[in-house]
Amino acid sequence: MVETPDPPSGEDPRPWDPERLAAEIRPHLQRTVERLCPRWLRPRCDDIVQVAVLRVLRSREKTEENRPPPAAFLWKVALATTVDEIRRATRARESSGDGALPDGPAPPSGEPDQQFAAREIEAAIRDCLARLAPRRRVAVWLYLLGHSIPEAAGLLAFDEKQTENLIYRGMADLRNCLRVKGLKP
Amino acid sequence: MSVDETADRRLREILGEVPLEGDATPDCPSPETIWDAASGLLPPGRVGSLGEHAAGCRACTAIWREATILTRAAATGGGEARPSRRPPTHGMGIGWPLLAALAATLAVTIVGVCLFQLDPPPAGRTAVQREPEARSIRSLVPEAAPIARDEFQLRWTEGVAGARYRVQVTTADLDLLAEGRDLGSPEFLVPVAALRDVASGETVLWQVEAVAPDGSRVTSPTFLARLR
Repeated sequence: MVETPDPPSGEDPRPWDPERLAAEIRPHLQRTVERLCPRWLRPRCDDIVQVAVLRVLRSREKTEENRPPPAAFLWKVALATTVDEIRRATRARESSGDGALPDGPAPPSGEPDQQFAAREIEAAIRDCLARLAPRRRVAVWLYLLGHSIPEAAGLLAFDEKQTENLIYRGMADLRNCLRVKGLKP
Repeated sequence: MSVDETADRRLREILGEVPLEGDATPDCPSPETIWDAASGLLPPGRVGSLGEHAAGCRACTAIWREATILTRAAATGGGEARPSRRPPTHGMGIGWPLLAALAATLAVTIVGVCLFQLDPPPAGRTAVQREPEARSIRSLVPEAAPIARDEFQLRWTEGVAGARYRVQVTTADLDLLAEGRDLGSPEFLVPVAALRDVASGETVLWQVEAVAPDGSRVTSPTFLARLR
């Protein structure tokens, strides 16, 4: 929360100034895009930021609002724009029939054995999740993504006790399923 | 820590590393829709059906995870998105809610020291200094309880003695629905007509700016309110 020593009128007296607004929001969009951008897409980060800036400006154009939008909105735009560009670049790579374009996805960093094991467990988690009853599946998935029981309950409109049971039983099923696959996380 | 807690943590870490560039399918919802779902801005039924898809989809899982991290950072007052890429980890034992609360507190602390401000911090204050509690504005509208469209009254704490208020009410996509200016009391009744295009069950965002008698301003976090 920030206080700014502006005139006390409660209104923004400035005329619509998209350039100034763009200058204000750009650093925040840039930081978020850079954090989200995979390494292979980093050369295009500036382009992604520019698209994100334009998207935000379009949303403010109607009301000619000079104040930056809430952080959540900026980050939503940054995430959506980055994902759009990832998908666009991936489609372009696939349609070219060349999976090894210079700007295509690079292999992840880390020890190859660890990468392989993690990828194997990740695929097994998805497979085991798919075997759970739908309500358990979603509750467990939210839990694995770090949502608390109250958060998961709120998102799914279940009561907390019900959600806790879904997660508890779903996690037991998931662990058993992974064990059957011979995997021990 | 029990074996299960250790195993759960490992499973979370693995999902925490799923890259954003996972293969999307034609069934994948847009990133904006995933964001809205992860933020609680979609009706619960839609969250459930979207979750059923996303639970089996690498691309959507990664987007959901990032949306959760970013919305948490925003909800703590506009923190920069620099917490761990992994979601907070906690066990499923007896102390789970407490651990979750501690994790949330820790996340707030981490985010707090990594803050960036959308508005430049005023002279004499650094970016990590927080608004003193006495000057903060809190919502007095429970986010979980839907409000009837003909009684859509927003209320908030005074924040600054003698302040005049400006409140903006927007859709999740920031389309302006209503605005109250130069309000003398910390409340605003949203006109029914302003909510005409908002469907029942949808969430709107609202934010208050208080202008103190000395001209200084205090801006609230963005609050949520759900339409019955």
